[in-house]
Amino acid sequence: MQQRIILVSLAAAALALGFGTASAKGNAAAGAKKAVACEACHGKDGNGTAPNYPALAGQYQDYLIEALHEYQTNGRTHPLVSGIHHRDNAIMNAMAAPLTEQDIEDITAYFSSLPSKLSDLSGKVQGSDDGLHSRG
Amino acid sequence: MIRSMLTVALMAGFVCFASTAFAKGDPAKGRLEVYSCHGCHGVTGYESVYPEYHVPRIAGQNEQYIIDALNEYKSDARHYPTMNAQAHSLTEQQIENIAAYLSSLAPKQLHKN
Ligand code: HEC
Repeated sequence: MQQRIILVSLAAAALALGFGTASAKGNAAAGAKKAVACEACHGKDGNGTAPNYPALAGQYQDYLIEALHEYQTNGRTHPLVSGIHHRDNAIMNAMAAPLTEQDIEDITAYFSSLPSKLSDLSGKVQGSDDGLHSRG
Repeated sequence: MIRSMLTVALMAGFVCFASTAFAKGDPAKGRLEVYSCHGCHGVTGYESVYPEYHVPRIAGQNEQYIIDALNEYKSDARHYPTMNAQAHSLTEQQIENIAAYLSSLAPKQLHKN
């Protein structure tokens, strides 16, 4: 019995170590299971299956949470979203509608932890040295 | 019933809209045109003030999605005051140039953020 408890807590600690570092909120392992519905468009790797679908892999988790809240708001008021922020997309409104806060935290923890092609713009504007400007 | 038919029609409309001809932006011009974006999108870890969340990473994002997002801000279908202001001042050609440049920044090798 005691051994069992130790095993379970060890497993929990391992999970927390493995996934807790990448994100403050949610459980990425649980999110991986819940994200199946998202993969048709956003891809199994989270990078989008077509150029009109955004890459989510490696995006900031709090931004992904905000985006899902904005879709849930869908013109109505949401306790967590200021009224001046709002987006409206038929597909994403419908996908976001049934998600609980826990679902949102888990799913975004998962996508933000995946290998990414996204980065910030720093060093990539005029005057920085990444080679493109040498072409004219 | 009417509602669900409407939803389906809307979705079909979206799919058609999204799959329209692929844009031909000029990444070299786009590189110069993202200058004004740098103050927010260029700062690693930069957060918007209210509500507080990180300004999204847009370098390496998929091309048509960037075009659609900027057009949604331009038409006010998507609301975020500073982005609406930015997008209102962009021409269709500039949006395509910017999207061509930003999407060209995707590295061959994925990285951990
Ligand atoms: C004052 C700060 C600021 C400036 C300047 C700015 N942005 Fe933004 N941008 C934001 C914020 C904050 C968001 C997220 C808003 C939201 O939730 O809709 C955003 C969102 C976006 C998005 C949508 C990303 C996504 O994943 O959906 C794109 C594309 C974008 N910006 C491009 C640009 C471009 C191109 C410029 C320059 C012409 C620019 N931005 C200038 C703050 C800024």
